[in-house]
Amino acid sequence: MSKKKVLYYVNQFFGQIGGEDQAGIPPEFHEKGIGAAAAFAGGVKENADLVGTVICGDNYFNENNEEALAFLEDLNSKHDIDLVVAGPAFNAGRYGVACAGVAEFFNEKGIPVLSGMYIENPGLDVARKNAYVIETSDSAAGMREALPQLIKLGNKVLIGEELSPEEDGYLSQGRRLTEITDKIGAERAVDMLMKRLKDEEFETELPMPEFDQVEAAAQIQDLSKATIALVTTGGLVPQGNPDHLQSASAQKWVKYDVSETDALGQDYYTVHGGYDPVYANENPDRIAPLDMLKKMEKEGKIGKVYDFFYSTTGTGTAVDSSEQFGREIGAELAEVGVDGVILTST
Amino acid sequence: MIVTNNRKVLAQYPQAVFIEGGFRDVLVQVRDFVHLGHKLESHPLGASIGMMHSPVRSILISEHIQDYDELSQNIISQSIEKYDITMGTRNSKDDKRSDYETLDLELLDAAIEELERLKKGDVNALRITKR
Amino acid sequence: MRLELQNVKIDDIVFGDETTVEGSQLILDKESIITELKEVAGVKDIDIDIALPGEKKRIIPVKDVIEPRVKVSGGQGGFPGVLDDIEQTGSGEVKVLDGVAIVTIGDIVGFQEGIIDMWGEGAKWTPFSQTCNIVVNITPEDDLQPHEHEAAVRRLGLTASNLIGEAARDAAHQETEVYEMGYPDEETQKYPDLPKVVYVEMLISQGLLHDGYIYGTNSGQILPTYLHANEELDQAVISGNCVAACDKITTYQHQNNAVVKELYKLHGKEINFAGIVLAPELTTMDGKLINTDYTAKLCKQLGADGAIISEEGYGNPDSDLVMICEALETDGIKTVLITDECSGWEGTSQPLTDAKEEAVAVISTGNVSHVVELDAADEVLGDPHAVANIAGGWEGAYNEATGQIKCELNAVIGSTSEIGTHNATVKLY
Repeated sequence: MSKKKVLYYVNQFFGQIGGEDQAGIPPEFHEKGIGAAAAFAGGVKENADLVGTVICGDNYFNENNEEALAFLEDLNSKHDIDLVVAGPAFNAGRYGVACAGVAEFFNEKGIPVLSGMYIENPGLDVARKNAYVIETSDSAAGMREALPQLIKLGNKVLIGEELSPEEDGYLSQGRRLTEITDKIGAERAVDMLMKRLKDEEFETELPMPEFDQVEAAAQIQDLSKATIALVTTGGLVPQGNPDHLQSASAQKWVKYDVSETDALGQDYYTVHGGYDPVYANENPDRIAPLDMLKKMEKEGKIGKVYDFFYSTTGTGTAVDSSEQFGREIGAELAEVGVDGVILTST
Repeated sequence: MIVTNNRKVLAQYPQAVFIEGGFRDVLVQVRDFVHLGHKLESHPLGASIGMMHSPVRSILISEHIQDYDELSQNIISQSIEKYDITMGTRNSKDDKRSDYETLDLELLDAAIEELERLKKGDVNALRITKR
Repeated sequence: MRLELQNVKIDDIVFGDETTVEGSQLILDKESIITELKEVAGVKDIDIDIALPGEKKRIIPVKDVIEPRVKVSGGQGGFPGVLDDIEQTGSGEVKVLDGVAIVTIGDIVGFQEGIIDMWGEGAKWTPFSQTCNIVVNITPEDDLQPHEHEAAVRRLGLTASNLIGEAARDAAHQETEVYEMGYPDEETQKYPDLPKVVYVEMLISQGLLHDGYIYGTNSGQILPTYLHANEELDQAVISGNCVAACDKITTYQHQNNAVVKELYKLHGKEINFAGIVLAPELTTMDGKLINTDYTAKLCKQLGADGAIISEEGYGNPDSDLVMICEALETDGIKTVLITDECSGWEGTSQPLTDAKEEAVAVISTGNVSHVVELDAADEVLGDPHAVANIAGGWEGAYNEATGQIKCELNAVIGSTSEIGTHNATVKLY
């Protein structure tokens, strides 16, 4: 029986090509282990051989996603890969998102993927659903702890052992599977209640989603004197998408000067990949009603429409990224004295 | 006010708002009414998975627009989400439509009786009369 | 109040000339039983089959499951308010045909669910694969209205339980379960330092095929009410709920309420079990609001420190569940909820859409959308056509050539019992 084959994916930095200035490099393939890839290959050599290392710039992967995936497709068809390792990405956001993209691509083909990330990495939401992701520290200094964990996990995957998050130390993939247990539900319920009554630790079997309470800002007293800004997650951008806003899993937000126009109109279109764009493109103001705001400004109902219009893409965007965008946009608007924001979603 | 896509309900309650479409279309129409300020009088979903597979559904909402009701808003949004998750990619059981229509009508009658009881018989508040 | 359940252990059933118990075998005089059951109003014809654990038999569509019993002292017994004269239940000696279940089957409307498989993969998912089942197949009189039909089926199952339970009257029992508890003031005097625990049992109470009954009273017609734990164990509560196969509470599960039995084990030792609040799940929003408030008030009046809240059904009752939880927690009563969840075929969807942050302690009895594959049966008791219909709208779910079924747990009786009768749970991967 021939040995299984492993492919390792790293970014420009961990591929030892360079830093931020090299983030735009297209993918390249080396038939050897580079950096972490070499160490990983050594750790799993009993069970698999390393096919090689893919190095790809983070910006390139995120901005030329189709080309990057085509590169992986080509490699996969040539090598018949059994396991992919991407990262660990620690707290590098774009690297994390690229690893998540790699994971999604191979997972769809039924090829298992390993990765490692810091718990706040914006790539984690997507990556954990598509890969076995171990939790790492927030910097590359954590490589020494992360690698042995990845190797251990890798060997288990390669020999086909069953895995569970608690025992194998990866972050849960969010799959809730029904099983038969020793104790019936009623007994488990009474056990749990006794723990609660004794103020002991207990673990719910059905965690509630996290509740993120945002306190409302104070009411605007006089709208006719207020400056109102327009912000959307509907993916609206000027024709040509000059800042390369992503159509899904946004990595950034963008802003455009609308002080000289009465409406978004046909200068804008949507790059959002999560809804049918026909009606939005027919009239982009349906998504972000600049036309109405400008009309209200003229009528004196509101004091002023803020000069810049803000946009990002909501679909597939990690919650952590959204929070970051919100804080950044909010800080900017607060600083210039905007009183209120119309926030539209799709 | 009754919002329904069940013809047997329409035959009994001619003043019902009739929706051409499926269960989900009724939910979406009710959501729109709630956005306008109507209040949910009955819960949008049934009490079992079996009723979730029904092609028809009848829901009671307040006759008049009142203050925006946050509970109604939460419940209808959650109901649409739950409906989508539960149905997944399957279709409703259209081949048993007539039986579902009968049961939906029965359950609507029970809901109206319940309201009559809770609203001290003042069912005119809902302006629901049966033919 | 003292209730003694005297268990006559049965592990086999055969047909014979007389309905009686010999050793651990129950013998049924099929013809006489059929003759008597045909007296039930609305019933045209009856057939009776036996399905034993391990046999390659499939029962479908199941309406109710009932344990056959007979009260031998301390009252007339039976189902007061339904078939029998009014009396308070919960005391006396009751002989139980332990290991036997009456299973009523038959279509009422065309979309019936409710499988019991006696062997293989399907058996794993239902507690009623472990009982020796007397399957009663009902043909109703022509032209019955649906609610008359439902009543006929319901009364027939209970009648069969009384009738066959008589066989236990003179049989020797091998085990005795004693449930003895005074009224709350007495128990509080005895155990002043133990935390008081109330069981809030929710009941679907919404109309045809969606009802529950307490002493024959339709639970949809009442405000939440208070029961002594023994009343539930002694036939005061019965099922009229025929649609939610996986998570309805059959009459058998009321008679053997697992939460009541578990709480009883700790009564006087670690807790003071203060009784049951039966909370009807109504269909209107006003109904849900009043019942939430009223349930919380009853729990407070009882001085509860903790409560277990069990749901029945899925969909609108999820709202009642979290509303009651919120109300109790707000009043300082610590709760544990029992519910099932729907997280899609892959188990990746948000399991509870009615979420409240107060619901910190929840038992999950399984994903109703979990897909199981069931082998072909040697014999289908009931309506083989119903098998084909069970997973409607889902291409290839029923393989006519092989007889195999691919279905969700929601079609299997008692699989995700929200009173915690079964062993299923959900684990995060």
